[in-house]
Amino acid sequence: MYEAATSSLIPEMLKEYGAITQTELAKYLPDREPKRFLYDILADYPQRSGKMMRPSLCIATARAFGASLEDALATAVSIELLHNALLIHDDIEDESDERRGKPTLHKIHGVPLAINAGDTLSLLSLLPLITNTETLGSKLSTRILEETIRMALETAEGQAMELGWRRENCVDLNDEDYLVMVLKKTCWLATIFPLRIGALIGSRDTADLESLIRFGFFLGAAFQIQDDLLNLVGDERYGKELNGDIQEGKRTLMLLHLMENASDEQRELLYQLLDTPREQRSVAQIQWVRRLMDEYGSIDYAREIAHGMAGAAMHEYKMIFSNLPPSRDKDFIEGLVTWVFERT
Amino acid sequence: MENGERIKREAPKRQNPDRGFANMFGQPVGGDTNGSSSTSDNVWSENVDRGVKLGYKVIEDQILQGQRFAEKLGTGSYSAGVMNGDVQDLAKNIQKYSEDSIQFYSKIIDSVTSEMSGMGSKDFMSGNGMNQGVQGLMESFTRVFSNGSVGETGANTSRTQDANGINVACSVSSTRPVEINVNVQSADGTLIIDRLYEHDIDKPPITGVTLERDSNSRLKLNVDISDEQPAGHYSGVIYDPVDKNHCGTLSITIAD
Repeated sequence: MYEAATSSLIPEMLKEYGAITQTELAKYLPDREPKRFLYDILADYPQRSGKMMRPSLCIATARAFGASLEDALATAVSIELLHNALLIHDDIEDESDERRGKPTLHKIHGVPLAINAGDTLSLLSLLPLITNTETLGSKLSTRILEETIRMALETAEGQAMELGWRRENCVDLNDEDYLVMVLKKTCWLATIFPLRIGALIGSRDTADLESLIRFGFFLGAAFQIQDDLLNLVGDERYGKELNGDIQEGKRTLMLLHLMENASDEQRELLYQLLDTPREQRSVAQIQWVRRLMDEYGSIDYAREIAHGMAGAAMHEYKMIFSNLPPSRDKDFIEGLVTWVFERT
Repeated sequence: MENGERIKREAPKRQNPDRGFANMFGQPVGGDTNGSSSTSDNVWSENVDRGVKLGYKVIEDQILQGQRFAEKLGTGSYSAGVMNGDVQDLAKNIQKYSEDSIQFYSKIIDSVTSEMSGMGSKDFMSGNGMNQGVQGLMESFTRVFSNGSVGETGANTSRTQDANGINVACSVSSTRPVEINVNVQSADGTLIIDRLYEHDIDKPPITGVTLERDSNSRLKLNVDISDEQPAGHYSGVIYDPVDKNHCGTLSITIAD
């Protein structure tokens, strides 16, 4: 196994900033009717213990650039609200059964109520951005709103790419296609946006945000590839069903590697399997794909790429943060690069 | 030590520094991969290098796309493509005022120079500093107009060029129309603007004006006109604090 390079700082700060964000977030969830059909449903995911990486990264970056925690808190809440809103819709689109160790919202309440709760939660995520005007002023708040719109568009584009690939049963994809999709679908919301917004708030819109795209991309890509790997080799703490990505036909780096390296006969069988409806894919078929991934070294291949992404992230981190004064928040951001591989 | 035997360290296994990305986080083990084929160091390194190169290609393409998109929309934080109609209208108005003002002052300059040429006086055109005076007049006609009548955020950014070839970006925050006249004669170093005064000494000076250099050493003029500032014509001097000389002028006219 990897030697743990990260101290307890990462879980400590995720817990600390996560708890502060959760407390503030609760203020934005309406306490009125219809609770059973809407507000209780949309409050479910935020109350399940997520990693809270996104809001923590936003707060830490803002503080590393000189802002106070209060300056970044509302934006951190907005990020977490939008993240949870998108999770509700993602789970429906991916037909997922579990989220954070429990049944997905649409499995509990049905698709129509879950979609409505997701819509409402995404709208509620705008509320904290409005309150930003009181603490950050109208100019900076407008910049944050601009960045939010860009992030939302990038994320939607990435999700559309992946859903489109599955709908059309696209298999002639390469690693670059995958990375572009991950950049849009995962990195913008998970890392690039929290980093950019944090720097925007901390520097009062004077920091070079472009370099944060690079760091955020490499960190987010390492995170996503490792997440895809955990779906195949994770334990019960992972929180999603094992091999669920194969069941969904999700285009992961491992699947693309397998499609490229399998024999013609195996490739044809894989193509047919991916072309059948999800519910018709048997456990035996899923296990067959999983065994092939081992046989062709697809798991190891993806691990190597993830490590390369993390190495590049470390390089980009130093380019951006080396000139900032030492702080616990800086250590936290740097530590996230290795934490990606230590989490379960 | 007692028998005089020298302590020797074992020869290190690694003779060269290891700077590869591949070993930064240690090698993965295939224990949970059901006997997957072990990857040789060379293949491992090749895959990592390829992945990183591909990653940089993807992200640089993305950044380039963003830059092209931004250029298409115009410069400044408030990109027209993502702002509401009021602000887009404001941007159009600013552009229109700027174009109108340039045409207006061009006509004045043409008129002045043609009149002087028509006099046919050699002395008039070449002597007594009059020609220099006309040049100076032309050089000083670098103007940026701002129509800030758009509610609470009347902040706009324009970039103009002094006749001396010095770029000056102007950021204006005002709820009323403002005319700015900049004449800078020095392209180097830090420049300071003092307060801008009106002829009427009862009117308070404008203090919200700064001149700074951005990361590319270009001059940026920031003008913040409060709603309480009386209308009028304010002017002041631009200083070079190193040479302790004045190196330009700035005047601002605030409309009623």
